[in-house]
Amino acid sequence: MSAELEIDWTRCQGRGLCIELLAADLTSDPWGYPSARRADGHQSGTVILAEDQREAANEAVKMCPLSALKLRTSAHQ
Amino acid sequence: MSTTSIPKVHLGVLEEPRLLAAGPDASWSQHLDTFGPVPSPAEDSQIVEQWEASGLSGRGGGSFPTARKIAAVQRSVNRTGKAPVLIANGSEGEPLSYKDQMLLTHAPHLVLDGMELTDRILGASERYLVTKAGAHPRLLQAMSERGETSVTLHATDSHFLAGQATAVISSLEGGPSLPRHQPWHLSDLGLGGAPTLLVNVETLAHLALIARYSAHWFRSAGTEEDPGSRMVSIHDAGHYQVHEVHGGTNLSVLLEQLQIPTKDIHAVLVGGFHGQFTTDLDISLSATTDAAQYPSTLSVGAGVLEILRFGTCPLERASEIVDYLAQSSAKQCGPCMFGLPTLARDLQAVARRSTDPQLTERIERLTQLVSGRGACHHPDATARLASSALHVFDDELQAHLSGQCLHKF
Repeated sequence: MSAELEIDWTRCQGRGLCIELLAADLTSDPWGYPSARRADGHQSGTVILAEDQREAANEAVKMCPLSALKLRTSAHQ
Repeated sequence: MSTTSIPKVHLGVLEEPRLLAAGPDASWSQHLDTFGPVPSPAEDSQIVEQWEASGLSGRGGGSFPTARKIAAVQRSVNRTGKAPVLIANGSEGEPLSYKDQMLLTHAPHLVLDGMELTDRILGASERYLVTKAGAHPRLLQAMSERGETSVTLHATDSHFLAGQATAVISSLEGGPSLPRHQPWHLSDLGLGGAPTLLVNVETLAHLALIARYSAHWFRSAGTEEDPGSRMVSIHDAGHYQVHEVHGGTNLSVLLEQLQIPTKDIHAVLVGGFHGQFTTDLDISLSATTDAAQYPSTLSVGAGVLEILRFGTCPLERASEIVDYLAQSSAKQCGPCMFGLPTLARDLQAVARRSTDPQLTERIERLTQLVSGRGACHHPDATARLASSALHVFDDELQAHLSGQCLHKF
């Protein structure tokens, strides 16, 4: 069971609440939009969450003022 | 259906036109004289089999296997019981592409045949043909000739992203013709929530031919990896031409056939503004995007080629294109709205021979930063074009970074 944070880029305006709540997974890009931290240092749009981040992610989904976040869980992989 | 017996000797322009076989401005009677009527409903299950065996991939740029797309809609219809919607997409937002316009002018009946057949097989409740308004008089004429009354014509905007699938849906729903955030498949949730089949008009024309002449016939053109034929728009020094060519054709063979001397060509942009540059002309133009499996193959996307002759600075051209793409952003998604103009500015600095040593690193970082971070693939494809320019024109890049240009003195 893994979870993925899905960002609706057409809604996101870079308010940054999610970046604060999920500091381990998200970083701010040069324009203030959330970007996934990856092991290789690159940034990416897809945020795959560790199990212990689920609660914080739920919080981010609820707190986003633009309702731009959704949590997607998938049973496989 | 055996395909191994077909030798891969077919290259370049088709010996005999297929899509345009009925001649210029083909009327309904010329169309019927050339192709005959569409097969009867009794043959529907064979038609579906032939479509699948043909290996036809979408000709709108995405190159997704068409039969799989149709099957996904059928599955969704069976699961939900909702009537599907059929959308023929002839929006052609790419400014270098003319093939859909050409096809709708000269072979509208083949496109309408393709709609008639997919519609019949899917049991669609609504049918839309989406094109620029300029194509409508000809289509209305063709529809009246054949007594077609169930197709709704829809005029789309002419900007770059207007033809993107979710932008077409949005426009049909009365919204702006801009891409949408769409995490689900159109086959499950498309227009008004209905299972939706959205296919390019050329793809539909091929479906109409395969239904009549079989998958084996379709595969007698092209290669095993890229069966059949496709329309291509070729731009050379301000002139353009449209041809129907073999799938998987070798690029230099095609150019020689068209009497565009390869010795004068420095590079070719393959796949249009969302494509890639190549200086190696000994490559095949294919539907495949799998560079690892087919290293000497480039994805031709919606069939657009732009010739860059010696004497034109390719970095300047790349900069112009990225600038256009940055301006074409729908400005809905932050990373695209801010990232692409920054990318365009840095690439313009390269084109203008700025000697800032950090430019290339900054461009590489930007291309990674915007990729995958939009509702559509516009930022990804723009980034890919920019990095393709820097990699393919590395000699030019090094010269520019030292204030020189290899093409202009």
